[in-house]
Order: sequence, then structure tokens, then C-alpha cells
Amino acid sequence: MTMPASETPLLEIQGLSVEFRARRAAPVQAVQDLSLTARAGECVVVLGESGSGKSVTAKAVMGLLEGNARTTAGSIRLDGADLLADPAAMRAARGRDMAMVFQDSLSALNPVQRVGDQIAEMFRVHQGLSKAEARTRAIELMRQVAIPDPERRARSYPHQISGGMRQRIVIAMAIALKPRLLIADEPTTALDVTVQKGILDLFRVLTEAGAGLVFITHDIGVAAEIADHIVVMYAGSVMETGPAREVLARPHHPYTRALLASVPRIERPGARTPIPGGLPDPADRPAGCLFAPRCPLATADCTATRPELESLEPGRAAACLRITEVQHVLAQ
Amino acid sequence: MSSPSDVLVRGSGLVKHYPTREPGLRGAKGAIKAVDGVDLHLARGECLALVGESGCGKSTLASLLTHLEPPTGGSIEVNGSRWGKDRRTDRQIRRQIQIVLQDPYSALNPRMTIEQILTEPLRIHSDLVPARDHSRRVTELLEMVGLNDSHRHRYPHEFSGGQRQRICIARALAVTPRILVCDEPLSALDVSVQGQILELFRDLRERLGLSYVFISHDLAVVRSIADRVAVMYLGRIVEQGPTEEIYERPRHPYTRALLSSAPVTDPAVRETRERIVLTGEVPSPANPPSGCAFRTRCWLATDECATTVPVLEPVFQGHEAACLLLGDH
Repeated sequence: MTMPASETPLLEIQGLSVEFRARRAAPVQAVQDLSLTARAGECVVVLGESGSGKSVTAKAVMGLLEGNARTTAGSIRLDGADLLADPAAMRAARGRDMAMVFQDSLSALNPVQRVGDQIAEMFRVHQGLSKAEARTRAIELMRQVAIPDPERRARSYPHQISGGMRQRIVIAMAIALKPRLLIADEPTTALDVTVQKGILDLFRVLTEAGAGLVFITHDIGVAAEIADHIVVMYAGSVMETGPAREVLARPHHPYTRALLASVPRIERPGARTPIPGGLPDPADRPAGCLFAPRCPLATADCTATRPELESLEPGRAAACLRITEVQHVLAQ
Repeated sequence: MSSPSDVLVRGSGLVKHYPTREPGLRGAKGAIKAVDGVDLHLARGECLALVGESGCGKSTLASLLTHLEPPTGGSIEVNGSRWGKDRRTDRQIRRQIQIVLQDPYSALNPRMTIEQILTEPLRIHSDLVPARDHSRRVTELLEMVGLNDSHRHRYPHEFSGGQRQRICIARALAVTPRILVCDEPLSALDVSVQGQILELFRDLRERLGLSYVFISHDLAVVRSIADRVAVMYLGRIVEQGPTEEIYERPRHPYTRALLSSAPVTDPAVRETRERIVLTGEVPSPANPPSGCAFRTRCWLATDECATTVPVLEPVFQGHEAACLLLGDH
């Protein structure tokens, strides 16, 4: 049985802005006016370099922002319920309806508790299962995330197992209560490619089983491997969004285009064109387009006016004042 | 094939074992076999990449090549002189081979200005540039790596990651080396900055005629810069050869698995390529499997693989692989 396309998406972020208070200085805008939609069974990749605001976005959704950070605008809706307006809804949803997988599995786990017990704790605390029942469920879950010999592994401490295994344990904990939304923040960055591959395959299985996935990465290759949709961020703002295949095959925004042209690709040997310059200082961002100082197409207008995200064709949008010229050039 | 005079670096029978002890007072002695029998050479003007998963020994090999650690066995010759022969020789070799490390945040002394950082190697190798010319040399080095001369009085914390890596490269170049050993020089940098540093390596190679040993886990980066690739697994080279040959016609099962795991951006390529998922984990280098070290994860392994250690055998011009089943697949 197939469900009709539901009216309310699983996760809907609208106009989210997050700022960090700074001592004796103006607050730093970490995320500005971000909108994002994630549906069940789909993977949305937030692609960006460090300082682009992608991890802050993830923490804002989970309600895990640091003390000096606050959301200044926007809404985050999970199944229509506004999590920012209702802290109780946020608390209830966290862990049960949505869960997060962090980059560093070693610091995400308790170093002095056996990994099996850490997974079992999810069932004991949230579902009140007995010790034996929780343990059985934990081992089932470990088998589900493809950990070999789970009965033995369950008795290991985090430092005794490899990075790839640990990340699987963290994923097992995240999916323990069958959340509908998974948020993964660079979950494979610390891992070898051979191990990364297995973890990406595991995430794919989870989305195919119906989970919504927001996957944060700086790696275009990883994004291409897993994304259904891509949101490209730069210096706290969304530059471009659209279906993954289209964004990667026909990028519209000059930043996306420059990024794709600069990164070496395994399937396309040869020299690439580096992007000149560096990321803007978060405390001193340009008034106009954030990418203008590095953009080959920038005009005086671009340095004066901050472009808004504008829809180009169904499902695709880009924030660029010169988008018509860019598209014109692309058409040729 | 390169004639002997073209070979700038030659490592023969390199072994590096780190002694370990089992827990307990009378624990048995063992060893982590980080590098376990490696022969390699680097030709003049060449870029040789070392690839492999973490723990395969590529960084240990880098520290052996630059003599930051002495090998347990084997020897390394740089431009005809042997590392570790005597202090004078070592000093001469040190000028010819320098290292650039992964993390430019921890590789620079935070309490030294850029000028001090770049002058230090000139003071140590004092017969290279007369003291009165040090300042001019610093200008030259900064220009070479694309930094502004006005930066010389600043401290490392005032620079971005990419700029810091440029400073590390300038410091390595201060003693006019012929060879740079680069250990994951891009991994700590932002994606859009990695391209710039890669371009700088290319540019320096042309301008200064440098040769590189380039260590990276990023197979896309390696393909874009290396002339030759050596694939390492558990302390040994399992396959080596010209870059395109390795990427287009990998012969060792491990190389095939490694290449098939690298993320691909182009969907058309992704859908048609070989997909191999390795099961199991890299065995401990303290207790490597008998025979072929890769056999515990190899989907082709036979009984013979457990008993016979494969050696590198030529498969094509300059392309070698260490697998007993080369004829079969």
C-alpha cells in the first residue's frame, strides 16, 4: 500500500536564524534564514565547508545548541508541531521521534560502560524493559547494523572496538526507538573509505525502511553517494537547493559550480580549478552576497545587495543576483 | 624504466617494529609491525603517492624516509647517501628531504612569528644562506608559497588553515630540499582551500623541480597529482605502478576494493563501476595473519593464501602486485 504524498513533511525548517553571543562584540550570525524540508524515506544532504552553519543547523533541530547560541527567527516543525515554540514537544520528540548521530563516536559513547549496556539503556529508560529483555533487543539491534558476533561485542568497551564499529553502535543507539527522523553530522568523516562505504550503505537501508535523514557533510562525493536532495550552504546561508542529481550535474549557483570544479574527482583525473581566497570571517561577513569576494561573476551590485533564495524551476532554487546570466552561460 | 642515477630516494627492506608488552609484569614481548618489509624508490621529479587505510604504515614510512625515526631494519639512501651513516651525512641529507605534516595548527610554534619560523632552519643550516641575507630569503619563501611579505611579523594564530599550511611548506622549502614528503597535507583544510594547496604543490614542483612522496587517504586527490601509486596494507606494499594503470586496471583485490569504496560524484560512473564491500576489519599489525595479510578480508582467498606470503611481481610495465591469484582474475 502506498501512502498519498502527505501534506505535512516530516521536518520543515522555515527561515531559521541562529546567532552566537560574543563577549564585548556583536553577535555572530551562524545561520541565516535557512529553510529545509525532509520527507520520510528521503535523504537531504546539507553540504558545506567548516563555518557554513551546517552543524549548528543540526543542533538547532535537536534543541542541543550551546548556551551562548540562540535561535533568533524561524520555525522547526516535526510532523507539523513547532519544536522551537514548545520546549516540551522538543523534549518529547528528542530520542523518540528524532535522533542524532555525531561525527566523533568515541566522545559520543560513555567510555566506562559496555557498548551493549549503552544500547540497552535506551530500552530500559524509554520503554521500561527488564534488563534481560533490553539486552536481547540491544543484541538484535547490533545485528541489524551489521556488527559481527554481537553477543561478544556487546561486552566490549568503546575503546576496544574500531572506529567503524563504534559508529555502528552510535547508529544503533540512534535508531533504537525507531525515530522517524535521523540527523547525522559528518558521521563518516573520521573513517576510512572502505568503512565509510559500509556506513553509507547502512544509512541507505534505514531511509529505504522509511526514515527521514538529514545528512551533514563537506564531502561532495559522499553527498553524491547518499543524497536525494541537496542544500548547499556557505557562510551561514543557503546558496542553492534541489534534487541531488540535478544540483551535481547542473549546478546553478557560482559557489556550487566553483566547488564542483575545484574538488578532485576520482572518476575525472586531471587538474582542477581552485577557488581563490578564503571563507569570510564569521564576525565580519560581507554586506552583499557572501560569496561575492571569491566569485568570478560578481559585480558592484553583488557586493551591495544580499540575494534571496529564488525558485528557478520546480524543486530548485539559488541565491544569486546574476542567476539569469549564469543560466544563460550554462545554456550555451 | 629509470636508470639508477635518476633514483633520488631508495628504501630497501624497510622494517619498523614498535615493541609492545602484554599487560602484566611478566607479559610476553611482542611488536607492532608498522612497516614490515618495504622496498621503494622515488625518481627525480616524480610524485609517488602512498595510499591505504589508517594503520597501514604509510605515516610510519614517511617518518622513516625523513629519518624522524630510525628503521628497525633496512636502509634508505637519498641521492646516493645513506641515512644514519654519521651526523655529517645526516645533516646533508636533511637538507635534501623535508616533511610537511597533516595538521598546520599543531605544526607551528604559536609563540614564534612567521619570520622566526622561517629563519630557524636557516640558522640551523647556517652555511646555506649568510645571516645578512636571511631577511631576503624569508621574502622569497613567502612569495614562493603565495603569502604577502607583510605577514612576516605575524603569529600563526592570525592565519587561516590554508595559510598556515603555506607557512609549513615555506619552512620545509627554506633549506632548498629536492624532495618533500607530504603526510596528508590537505586533510585538515577546508574543501575549497584544498584545491589551492594542491595547485601550490603542482606549481612548486614545476618551478623548483621538486619530487614528492605524497601520503593521502583521498584517492581522488592522489589521482590528480601522483605519477605513481603504491598501495599499502598492513605494513607492506601490495601493489604499485603508474597512477592511471593502477586506477584503470587495479590487479590486487585490495586495490580493487579500495578504489570501489571511494565516493564518486558522477551518477553514471557510480552505477556502472565495480562494487566491492569488504567484510571484517583490518587485522592488528601486532598479530598479522599468516601468508597474505589481506586474506582474512579477501573474497578470493584460497588455502594457499594462508601459507604462502605473496611477493610483488610484475604484471605490466612498472606495475607490480603481490597476490598469489594474479593469473586467475
